Amino acid sequence: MVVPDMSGQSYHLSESQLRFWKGHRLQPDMPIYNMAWRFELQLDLDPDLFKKAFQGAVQDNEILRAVFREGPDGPYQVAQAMPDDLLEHIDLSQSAEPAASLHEHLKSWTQAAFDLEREPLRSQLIKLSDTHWVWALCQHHILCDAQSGALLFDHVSRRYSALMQDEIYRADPLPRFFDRLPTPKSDPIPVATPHPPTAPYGSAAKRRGYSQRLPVPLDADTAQKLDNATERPEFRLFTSDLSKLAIYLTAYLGYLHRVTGDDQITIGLPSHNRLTGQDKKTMGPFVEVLPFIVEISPDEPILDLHAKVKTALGAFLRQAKPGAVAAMDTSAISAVCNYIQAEFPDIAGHPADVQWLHSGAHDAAHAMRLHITDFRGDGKPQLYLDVHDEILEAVDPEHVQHHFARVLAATLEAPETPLDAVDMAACAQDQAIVFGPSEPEDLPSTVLEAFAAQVAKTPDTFAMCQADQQITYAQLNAQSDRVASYLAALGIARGSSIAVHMPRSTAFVQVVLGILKAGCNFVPIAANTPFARVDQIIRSAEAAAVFVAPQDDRTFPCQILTAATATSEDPLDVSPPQGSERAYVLFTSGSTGVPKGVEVSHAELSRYIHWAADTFGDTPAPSYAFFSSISFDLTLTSLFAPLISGGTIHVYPERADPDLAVLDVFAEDAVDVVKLTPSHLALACKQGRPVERIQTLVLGGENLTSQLCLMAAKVLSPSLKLINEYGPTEAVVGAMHHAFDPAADTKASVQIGIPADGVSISVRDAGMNLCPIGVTGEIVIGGRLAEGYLGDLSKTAAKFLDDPKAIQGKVYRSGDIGRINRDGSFDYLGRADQQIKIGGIRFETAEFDRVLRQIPGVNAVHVSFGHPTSDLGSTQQCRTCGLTDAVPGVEFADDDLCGVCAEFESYKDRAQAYFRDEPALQSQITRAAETRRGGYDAVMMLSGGKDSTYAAYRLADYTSRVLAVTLDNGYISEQSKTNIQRVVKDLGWDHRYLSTDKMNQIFVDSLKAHSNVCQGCFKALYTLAFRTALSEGAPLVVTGLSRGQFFETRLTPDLFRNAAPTCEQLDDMVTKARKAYHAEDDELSRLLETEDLKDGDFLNRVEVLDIYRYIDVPVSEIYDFLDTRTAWQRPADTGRSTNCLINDAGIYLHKSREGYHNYALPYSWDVRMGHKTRAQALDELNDEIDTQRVEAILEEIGFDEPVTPQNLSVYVAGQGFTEQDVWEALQAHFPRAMLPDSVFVLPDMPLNTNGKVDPSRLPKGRSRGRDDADFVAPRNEMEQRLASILATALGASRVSVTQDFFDLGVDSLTAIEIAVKANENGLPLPATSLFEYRTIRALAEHADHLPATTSAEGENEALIDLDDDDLSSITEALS
Amino acid sequence: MNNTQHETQRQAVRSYVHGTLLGGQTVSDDEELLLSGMVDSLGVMSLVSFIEQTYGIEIPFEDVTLENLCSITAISRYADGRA
Repeated sequence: MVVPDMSGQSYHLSESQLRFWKGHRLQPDMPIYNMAWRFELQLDLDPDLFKKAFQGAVQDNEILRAVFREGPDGPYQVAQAMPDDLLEHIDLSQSAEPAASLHEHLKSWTQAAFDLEREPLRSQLIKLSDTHWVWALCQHHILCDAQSGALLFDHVSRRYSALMQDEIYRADPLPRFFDRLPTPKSDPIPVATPHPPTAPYGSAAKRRGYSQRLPVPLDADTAQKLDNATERPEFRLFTSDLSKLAIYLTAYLGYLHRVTGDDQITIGLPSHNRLTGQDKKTMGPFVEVLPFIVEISPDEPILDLHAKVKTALGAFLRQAKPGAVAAMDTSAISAVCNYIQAEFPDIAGHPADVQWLHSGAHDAAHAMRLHITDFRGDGKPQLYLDVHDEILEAVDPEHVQHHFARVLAATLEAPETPLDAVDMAACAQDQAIVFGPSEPEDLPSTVLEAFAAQVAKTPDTFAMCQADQQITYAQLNAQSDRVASYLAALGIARGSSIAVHMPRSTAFVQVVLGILKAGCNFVPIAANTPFARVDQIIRSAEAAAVFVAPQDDRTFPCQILTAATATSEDPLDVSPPQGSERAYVLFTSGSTGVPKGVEVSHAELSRYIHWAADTFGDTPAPSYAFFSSISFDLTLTSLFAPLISGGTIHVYPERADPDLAVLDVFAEDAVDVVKLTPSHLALACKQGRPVERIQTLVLGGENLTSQLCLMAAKVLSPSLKLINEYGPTEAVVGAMHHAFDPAADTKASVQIGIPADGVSISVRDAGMNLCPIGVTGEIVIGGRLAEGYLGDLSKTAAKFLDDPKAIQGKVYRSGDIGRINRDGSFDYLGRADQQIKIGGIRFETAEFDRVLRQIPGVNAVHVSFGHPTSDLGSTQQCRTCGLTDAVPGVEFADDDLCGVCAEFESYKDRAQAYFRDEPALQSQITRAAETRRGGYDAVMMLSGGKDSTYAAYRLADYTSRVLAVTLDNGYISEQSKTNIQRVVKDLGWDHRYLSTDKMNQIFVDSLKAHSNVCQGCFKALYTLAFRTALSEGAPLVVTGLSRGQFFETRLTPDLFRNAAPTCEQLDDMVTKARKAYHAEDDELSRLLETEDLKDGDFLNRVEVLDIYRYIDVPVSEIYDFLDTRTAWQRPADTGRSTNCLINDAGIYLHKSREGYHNYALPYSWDVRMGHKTRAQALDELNDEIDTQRVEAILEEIGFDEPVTPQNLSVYVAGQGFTEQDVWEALQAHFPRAMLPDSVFVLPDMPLNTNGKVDPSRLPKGRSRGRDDADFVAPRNEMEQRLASILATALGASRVSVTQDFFDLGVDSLTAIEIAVKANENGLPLPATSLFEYRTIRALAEHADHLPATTSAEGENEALIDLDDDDLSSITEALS
Repeated sequence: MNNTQHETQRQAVRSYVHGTLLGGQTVSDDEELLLSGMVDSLGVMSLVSFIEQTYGIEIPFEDVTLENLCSITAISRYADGRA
């Protein structure tokens, strides 16, 4: 019995022990952390001596006797006294099958959970025979690691040897684990749950933890190759082990990428953490598993991935210090790679066979663990993969090891192979290919043949009906004959294309059949197609004629025919078309917007139609609805399938735009089969009329979600048969089908099932190899294909090709992503070029559909991943300054005058109070001369532009003791620098370039935070200029800031709205704002370590002198002066981007992210100041940006985001719910990382003419709405007041009371504005309070404790003079 | 950069290698440390950090190679060149 002895000293836990502790607490009954060794001792062992040796070892090393308890300060560990019966002795030598029973016994023994409070270690010595003993040792990871096991083994071995030789065991005591415990750190910052990585092989995302250990056999050949591989210079790292690890990691990462489809993989890589010799001799758990992250690019050769692994290893090793795990986010780890270097020596001169037993389970979050061991140290590594049970349901265990081994082999033998083209399939049974059932032998080669047979069989059955009109088979046959006859008589050559641009009608069907009978092919063009496109199609198809509606009087580039007149009574004398002849050409829009014509032959059409009729029609002569666009091949099914089976086509004419004839179909409920898109189905569900006659729905064209199917069953009819039909136009309408089964189809998206008759489908990798089962790849279709693209041989050759693996014959590469699962199901995973990946992990958009459709009232859900708008579509432009409403905050009254100009008129007189005159300038400078403590009166910021240069010359009139400074941000042009040098030489001034090695980081931060470079640059300049002035003892910092810039940034309208502040008051406010600006705790302050400026005291010693505050000069005079009287040279253009070469990067990024030019506002001020004309301003805003140069610069400075970050937007159509409902549902089901950036609620989902969602008509999102997810409304009056003040100040519709001000965009100036307003509202808030109390809620609580002032008695229209008391109560206590 | 400074720095590296990494074992300045397995990868990176601190330089990962770090002599040569 274990008697816990609490007399030992207790210790805190190390970081990794803490993690094991917490993990164990979460699942105390799972053996996730059991480390079990089985040592085969083939010698004549003395069990008593062995037991003594073992006990001696345990006695000597306290960590082996540690138990773990929870105390008031958290968990602690303490060594307990050694129990007597620590090594259980079991004799199996007499049993029938000792080895087998031991194996069984050990399995359950190793998997038994530990009680950490009592005994985290157990051991047994089992006798199999006199000379075969097994020593089994099982410990919880909280007190050991692999090296520790090796040390223990070694220790016991030595003791045993000593005992065997009757010697006293003498050895220096091993270092104590407890002595080496690092000091505990504070709690790590909690991190948001990341987007969970994709489970491998399409297996279930939720796992319990039980797993199997699979050996990865490495043949001798591979082991040899591994050793040889390091001869290749790229594979050689600075130690042999590290070189091998890099190769294993590359193969492992590559393998994980292929079986999950993720582009970013985080591997847990243990760092052994035994740095010193002492450490290497200390037992205990040192190992820490740290994240190792690599991003995989598409089409990347394995060698490139290896290069990334090398770099990542360097970074990894640098961070790997004991305790490092505390500061790292390990929650994204999806797999572990254990490169175990522990070696086990002999026992008493005999080699011991060492096995590390699997405990039967491992951390459920880690899909797999790869172990690379070499316990004997003989250079022959053994590899194992621990794989969870749930994953082994999705993949054959035999195949798993093979897949990994293939990637490893490719890494070693052919690393130039692109990772996505490594042939991984284990065997023929592991290949992702399905062949559809074979077709009947005597299939008619054209639909005409089948139609003719049907006419003979049922001449008087109705073939078509439309409203009251009914047409029998015989009639349709006769009518189409007449059309064909007419066409023949016209002399239209056989094989010609004839366009059909008619509304849906019985006439349409007659015409189409007629065209086919004439030996021609039809090109259907929907009635509502814009003329330009009709024209384009007719030309591309080189159509010999076009059929139009009778009232269509437009001109087309070919003969125009109408159904009514294109008939001839002459008997048809055209031989029927052969299967090889073309039946139709259908133009799709293609991703580039240029329509491409897909040509399909009679034989393939017939094959499809026969299969469709057979599959979709349950009744003998089913009727179909003809309601969808004729330009969409989906419609062909509904036309021809009934005609070959004796059914009836019900014609539903076009409705006005939008064409929602589908609603008529479901309202009338007069057919058996409806073929439609999921979006159309959603509309039918919205209409909500149950159906009885309609039994079968065939869904195509878009991804079908299970939630929509459930909705349809509920709303339309419980006995509806819903068939998902997948197929690109190029595979002749439909290639795969699956009948929805609510019991089996539990994923968010409905699977696409099995191939149609005569069709073969495979999933292939980038090298056209067949993917293994469970691995995603491109869907490749064979068996029944279109001929190709009309008139585009190269495109045809690219997509339609002979199977390089000679399995499917002629194939079509669909560009869709799919996967065949072990259970035979076939998942469609979207288009390759539209995959949404967040953080490198594939995002299944149907999950949103699943969750959101459960909100009552929702009919449709669409997810898009696009760029936030880059042209917020401005509609209005100011007649005075040229500003457009694309600029946020710029509003227009009705007369083309922007709000900024309008308001400016009202306060520009009051603003004049700020400006002074030249004598004032003189006295400032004189004062400076008296108070200077160094050689300079002033430090002047000289940018090289016209304003600062002119200002410099004016300053020079008053003093020559000036130090000119220019911020060299690394991108100042030579031209600009030369200009500056000329000027300072001319002025006889000293000049200095200011710079910081943090400039690039400042740029990156400025781009991320403000979408420009100028803000960061500006602040850096001011910071460094002030420091220069301080160190030089100069009392002045002089700027050439223009008047326009004053009005833009300083003399803002709110200061003058109901007040006329004096010059001093304005000065004061500006100074306070400047203090706050330099006190801000932002990234720049961290980079430049601006502690020295934080208290604002420096502004008592240095004053800012803006030259243009004292002089006002028209721009013409400035240019005149500069051109004639100075050494300055005017740049050819505005100089903005030729002076500072990084400017364009800022402009480009700002335009992309914010939707408007960042110089729009400043230039509008130049116009108001009369320094530019409106035309000039608009002209200068019309940049030509060299995007390649910009991308290069962004890379140079280390800007690591895409210029236009992608915006995940969710659109929800329906009624009776709010945006808030949507956010709540999303938050309840998805981790933060998966929440969309924007949510839009619409009454209806906009559809295109084909019945699919039309993304061009969806509102575009800016990156907002994420904050809304955390919106908390005000709960009392104080919060309400503050919230509305902030909302006004920020131009936001509402503000959350729990959101940090600086996340809301409150900067130092806005803080002042808010304080002003607060004061106006009777809240005496000092502006600093917004720095201290960072949320409205906190501020409100604080405000409650301030003495109330007299509240503003109504908003007085009359001007209020701010007296100094008012002012100080606004801006007090900043210092 | 004078000779005594070189020597002091080299001595510091020696102590670190002998004391911390090799557990008290002394080796000659030309003894090969990496391929022999005497210093493992973790050890090498901690050595890199130590060199950076001692010489006041930054060592990019591309420079962490056998050639530059295989012996105390090689290390001094590399580090002196970067200082």
